[in-house]
Amino acid sequence: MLTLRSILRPTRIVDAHCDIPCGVYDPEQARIEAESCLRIIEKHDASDDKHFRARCIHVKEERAELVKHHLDVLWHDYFKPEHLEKYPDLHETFWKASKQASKVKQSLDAGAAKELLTMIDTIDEMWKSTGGPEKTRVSGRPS
Amino acid sequence: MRASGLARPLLALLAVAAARRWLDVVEVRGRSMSPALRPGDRLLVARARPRPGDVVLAADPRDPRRELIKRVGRIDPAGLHLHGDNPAASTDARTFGPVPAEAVVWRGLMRYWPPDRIGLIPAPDPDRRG
Repeated sequence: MLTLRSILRPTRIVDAHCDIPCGVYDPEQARIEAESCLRIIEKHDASDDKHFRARCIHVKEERAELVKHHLDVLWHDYFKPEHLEKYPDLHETFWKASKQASKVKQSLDAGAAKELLTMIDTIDEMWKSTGGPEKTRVSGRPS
Repeated sequence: MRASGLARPLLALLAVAAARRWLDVVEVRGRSMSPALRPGDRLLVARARPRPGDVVLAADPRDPRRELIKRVGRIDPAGLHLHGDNPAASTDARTFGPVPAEAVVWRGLMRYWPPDRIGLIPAPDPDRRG
């Protein structure tokens, strides 16, 4: 049905952009920080030293913040509208993963950290199936 | 011959489809054309040969999947030098150099949304030109 609304709906987004996209993205970056959170929680729980435990909490909060940062970069810069067509739950997935990273930041719950890894792996699948490894990583690294 | 009830909307649809070759509507993202264009502004664009001072659409030379909106600065044999009105918040010819003239086919005509910003696209603020 041809309506005024359909005629006036923009056909595309144009960028008055301001960034320096290096074009390198990999959910691995977020995963490594999230793995770090999990290990720190385990070390925290295994220790009786209150100073060490305090350091664990401090560093774990920093790492969880980095998870959120790396997820944001992927979300805003790597994923594009055509990926949203393929994965209609893309926004929901990122939103939940970011919230999970906040939970890991606030708590000492190893289960929450494991859940975060699972969520990052879901994002990793989206990245891989949209050609991320070929399009965004620099090739030629010795295997 | 009389057009049936169905033929009229069909003709209108064809007219819009044909017109979309020459007229189109786009939405702006980003701040590099502020204050003339703000994020979320919707524009009517038309196919036209670009002139200096025009606001135009062009594929990003570094990532052709991305379409940029910038203002035409100098035009020389190397191509069009595109700049944001807000140089502090713009990645433009300073980074990616001139773009070929044939890469630019759409020119911004007017803003039609949001309603309080309906109007022609103003010239850049002379104090802010970089």
